[in-house]
Amino acid sequence: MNNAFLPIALACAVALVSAVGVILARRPVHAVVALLAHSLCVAALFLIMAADLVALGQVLIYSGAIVVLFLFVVALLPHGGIESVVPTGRVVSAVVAGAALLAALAAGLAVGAPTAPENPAGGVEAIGRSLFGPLIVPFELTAALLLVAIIGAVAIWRRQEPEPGAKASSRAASEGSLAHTADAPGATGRQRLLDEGGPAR
Amino acid sequence: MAELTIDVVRSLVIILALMTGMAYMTWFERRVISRLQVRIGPNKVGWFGLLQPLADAIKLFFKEDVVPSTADRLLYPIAPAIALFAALAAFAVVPLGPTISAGGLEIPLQVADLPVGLLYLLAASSLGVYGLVIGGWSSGSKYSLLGGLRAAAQLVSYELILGLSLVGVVIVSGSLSLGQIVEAQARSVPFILLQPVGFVLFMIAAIAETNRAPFDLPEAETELVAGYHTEYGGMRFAMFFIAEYVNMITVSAVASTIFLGGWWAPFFPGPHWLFIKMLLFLFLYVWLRATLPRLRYDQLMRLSWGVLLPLGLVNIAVTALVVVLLG
Repeated sequence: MNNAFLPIALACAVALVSAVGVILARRPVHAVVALLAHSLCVAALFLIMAADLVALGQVLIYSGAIVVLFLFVVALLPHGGIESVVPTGRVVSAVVAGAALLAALAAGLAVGAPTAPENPAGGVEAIGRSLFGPLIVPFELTAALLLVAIIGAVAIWRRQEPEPGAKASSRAASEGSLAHTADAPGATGRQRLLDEGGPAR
Repeated sequence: MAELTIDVVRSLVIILALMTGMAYMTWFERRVISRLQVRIGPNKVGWFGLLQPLADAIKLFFKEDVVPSTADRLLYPIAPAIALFAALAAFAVVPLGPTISAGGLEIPLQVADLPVGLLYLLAASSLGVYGLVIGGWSSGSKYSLLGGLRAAAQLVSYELILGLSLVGVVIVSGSLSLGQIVEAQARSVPFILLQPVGFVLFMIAAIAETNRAPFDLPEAETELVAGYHTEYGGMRFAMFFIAEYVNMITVSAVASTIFLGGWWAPFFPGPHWLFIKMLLFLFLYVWLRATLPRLRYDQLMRLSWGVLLPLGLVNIAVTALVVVLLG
């Protein structure tokens, strides 16, 4: 047992508890906060393993940006978004999937425990050199992938927009959608959203 | 063991200094803004009103702890703590001065000189938004919720600008460590001369990140009462307040360190130089608050995504090109 055991055990324990919390929390906001705790524990594990850059990337991207957006969305759910009772079928399938994943992991570890890389220094410079050296093509391809994802997201969102009329220009279309949110059904919908937002309503 | 003791003592001293500094920042702000508005400001409690922060602290400590009936019992008390934690954590990588040796021990005047210090700074500041959003949601009030949501959208947008503004500095200095950035400036010139666009972007983004005027939309009193902290009182409110002021101090310290050379100066280098440079930025904060009206929400978003983001990308491209061409 070396002196890294205690921090690793602590981080793993909190990560486990918060992961269970994500599943069991009835209120989505509580689930998101548990997810945040979990993400921070994962970052702590990276940090203990001396992967500074990965740890801070985890905090910066997952804890700092992605989970914030989750929180942004679930905070607006009416009645605090309390879920109804989960159907048994979903629980069973989740247990089966979890067990399968655990078995796969155990099998993978049984075949051969992963060995530490020869030069474990995952410093900024090493990562930068490999990103802009041998890995330059996949790295640049990621940019195209992200662009496609963004365009896809915008396209899906555009499909939900109300049809502005065949002859209307794009300018008129944007005005039309603004007018739509300001008219009576839109306004009451928004009002309802505000009335029901927050934890205890 | 001696090292651990030094680390703990140094951290405690810095936290204590931040708390005291924050208290006197409120005094400084009230005095300066009064002068700018042709008033006098707090001058009754102690000499020049210097005991006013103490009186305020005692008042806040002894206020009744009110929890709204609609609040979320679990998250409502945690939110201010998250905000304060993130604010205090961010300061850890700021180098206050050169390493001093006393009694055969080397004492660096910095909590931790991480090799990835700049990223740590961004990560810590990105966690602060949780205090605001969770506080806004858990209060169970519309104003709080809207303030919290505004905070989330604003901070996520401006974090990007903050990161972009720092990339130029990283390219010029070749390091993510704040200690080495100071050394790089000691060898050449303060980076405000090499990265003027980066400096302006950093200041705008940092003021938006700290929710200060003219970017104080999450607590716009004309629309949202007090935004995310409407339902908070006493010490819980004070924790949000302390977090905001500690963030201002951190931003001033980081701006001084990255763009003005930090503690380094051509003569008598040391922590006092950092202090003087920080005062300049803290004065700027107060000056802006007294001068500029608050932005409208759409203006805020257009400024970030439409103006600052392209400017930041161009700045990085030009910086990279110049650095490569000059070798």
